[in-house]
Amino acid sequence: MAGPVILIGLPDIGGPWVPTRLADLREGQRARITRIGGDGCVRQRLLDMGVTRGTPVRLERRAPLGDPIQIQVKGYRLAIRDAEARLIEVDTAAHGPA
Amino acid sequence: MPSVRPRTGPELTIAIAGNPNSGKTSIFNRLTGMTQSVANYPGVTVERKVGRLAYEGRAISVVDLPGTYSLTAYATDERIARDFLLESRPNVVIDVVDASNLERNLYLTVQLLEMRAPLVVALNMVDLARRRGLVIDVVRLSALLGVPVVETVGSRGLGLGDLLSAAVAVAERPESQGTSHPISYGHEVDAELDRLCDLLARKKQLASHVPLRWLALKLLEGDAEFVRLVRTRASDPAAIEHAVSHAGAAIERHSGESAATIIAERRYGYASGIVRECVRSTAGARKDTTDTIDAVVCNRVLGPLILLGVVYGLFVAVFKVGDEWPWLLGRSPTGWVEWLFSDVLARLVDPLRDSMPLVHSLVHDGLIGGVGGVLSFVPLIALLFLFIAILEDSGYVARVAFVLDRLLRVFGLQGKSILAMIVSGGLGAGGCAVPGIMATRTLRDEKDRLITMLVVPLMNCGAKVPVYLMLIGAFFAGHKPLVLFLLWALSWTVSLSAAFLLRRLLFRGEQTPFVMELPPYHLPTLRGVWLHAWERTWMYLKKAGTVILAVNIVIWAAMSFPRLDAGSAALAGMDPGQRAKARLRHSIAGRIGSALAPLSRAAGFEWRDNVALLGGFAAKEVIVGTLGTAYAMDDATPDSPEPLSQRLAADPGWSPLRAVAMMVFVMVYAPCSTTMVMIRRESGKWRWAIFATAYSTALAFLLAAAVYQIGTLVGF
Repeated sequence: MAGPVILIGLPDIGGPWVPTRLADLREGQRARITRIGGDGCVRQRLLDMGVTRGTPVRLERRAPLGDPIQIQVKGYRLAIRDAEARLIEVDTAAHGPA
Repeated sequence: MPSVRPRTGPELTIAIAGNPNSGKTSIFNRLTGMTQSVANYPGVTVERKVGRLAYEGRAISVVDLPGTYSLTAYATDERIARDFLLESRPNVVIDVVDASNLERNLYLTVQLLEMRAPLVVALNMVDLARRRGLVIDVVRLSALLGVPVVETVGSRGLGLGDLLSAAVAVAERPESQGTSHPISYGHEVDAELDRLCDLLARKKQLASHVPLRWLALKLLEGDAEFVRLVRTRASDPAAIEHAVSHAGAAIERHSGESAATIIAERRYGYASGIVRECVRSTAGARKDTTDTIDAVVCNRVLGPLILLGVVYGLFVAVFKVGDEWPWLLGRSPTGWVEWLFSDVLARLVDPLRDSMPLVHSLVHDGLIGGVGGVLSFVPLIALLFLFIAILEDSGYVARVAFVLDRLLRVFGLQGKSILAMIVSGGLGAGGCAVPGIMATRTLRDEKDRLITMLVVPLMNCGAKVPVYLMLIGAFFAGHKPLVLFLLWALSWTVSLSAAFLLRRLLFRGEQTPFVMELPPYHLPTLRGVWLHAWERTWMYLKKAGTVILAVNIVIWAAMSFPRLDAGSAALAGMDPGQRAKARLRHSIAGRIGSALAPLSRAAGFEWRDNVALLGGFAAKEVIVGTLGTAYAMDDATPDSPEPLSQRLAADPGWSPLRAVAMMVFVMVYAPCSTTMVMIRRESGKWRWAIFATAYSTALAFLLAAAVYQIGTLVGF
């Protein structure tokens, strides 16, 4: 077998935490993603965009009508609708209150 | 820029893949320059761009794949990109990767490696990454990925020579790339993958063009396309499907998550592992310009105001500069085109008017009118795309979608649809659906794009306004601003309602999730913007122009044949106006108009209205003139509708109610021939062009008839 193999374990997401939805974060609040709900297209799309378990996330702002939201994830900005943001559970304790 | 020289070796194909906003288009532009041609992939709205270049005597064709984040079966552009890679087997794939956003970009790279694509990575926008304090170890990155990595700055053309030579080297020696599995998904998943590969290897008919491990991964992910492939091509699909679901269940039991989730997470794990090994950040995280701009542009109060300003600016840039302001030596660009055709060329054939009236009519109305009609759109389209390219390349279009998404979603549209609607006449003072249809190119989702395309012709374009003005002059002379305002409000109501209904009736099913990158702002390059505008304008001329001309000639013929001879008894004793009217009634269009009269009476229209409206299929500008002819007026043109107004106001058959029904019908019915051809071009199917014509005409008739009937009942 030529070429390098890199093996990364799944991030440790243990510890006591309160489940919150990404959609419920305040503007500017940070958290860590703990679970992605939904299925099929929506779920795959979120995963493909880097919304994966263990990833730190920050809600940057809401659109003028409150929906969609702009988040910062893996160093870039992503807009998602409230409906999708409700599928994503986050742990705010992992970053403490922002 | 490399020039095109005669081919000496076998032609190579290079495909350019990468995330949207990775700068792949600027690399493609730099490599191919003016040699590129744009078409749609068959049957879909996704663009296919191909260019050519010569490198050390070799002819190379370069294909710019749609920008994608992944290669799933869920999105049309992703499916197209991977089908191209699997079926057309390019000699080498250049994966353009945004150096300042490496982790997410490498997610696609991993998948390209798994597809066994012969790969060269273009580490693009390294200047931007450096400015952000990122130091990337290119040698290490190349070693970890097992493929050549070349640093580039696409917008300035830096590193492209090295990129090309690396690409050609890989194309010539594809075996130089490792054949190992580039990524491990952990014990459990790897074991299941190996088992599946063994099983698939025994089904040889499946393995023809798809790498086995890639196929196994896709089946585990539940990829609909590959599941179908197994079902239709495998000799024993049940055994494979059973093995796949067994493997999926085992992974889920072990990890508590679906196989698709684990696979995506591991790919990202691999990407972030590489980033950790190769990238050092020298500067702490700080607020960059994009955050500062976003704080203003997406602000609750300022955001919508700025959007309004930009949209108004777009409108001014296209229609005022292109059509209305006489800034170019006394005329507007469109004005010059119209001058050339109606004042210069049309005069040239004047001598034929009496000696050969038929030839004169064909050349004057059919050819000159048709070609002039096609060319008069050119300034508008060029300006539209200059402006849209600036908005899109700068990153603002994504913010338009962000700010307006909630509002337009109610109607089954998307934030970006607003650009097309404004261009098509949404501001109530001119506009045109032809550039409007082209503006739907900013929409990524196929359904959103089709719905927008189908409803923008209902907006009040500039060509409908003369009809309104003529009828307002006849029946509502004292209330011109009010009636125009009501017509403007009605056009928004009708097109948004139509969008609402189309989404619910025709485009049901899962809406593509709105998960959209908001790219960092950057200054568009002159070169990129110019190429974009040039490409679109040229495409319009080449592809649409011919068809539009043909449609115009067909409609001209329908209004001219069969002819009544000048000496015919039917014309005896008539003045020229009456003769023209008799000729029109005698023509195919006149006969169709008469035949439709019993039906159209429901909306208050008689044969003359019908003929004029038939003429409007070619271009709405024709309506007033044709109506004038049908009322035996000699000089009714869109520019001087007053005599016709007086004529209609005095006609006992006309009433304000009939005028309202007529205005409603003109607003809603069939897109003009140019718009129709654009719908065909942009949707990839005649079916949608025909549907757009049929549904809007039916809707227009229903609305006009409702207005007329209810109005008559109520006693107007």
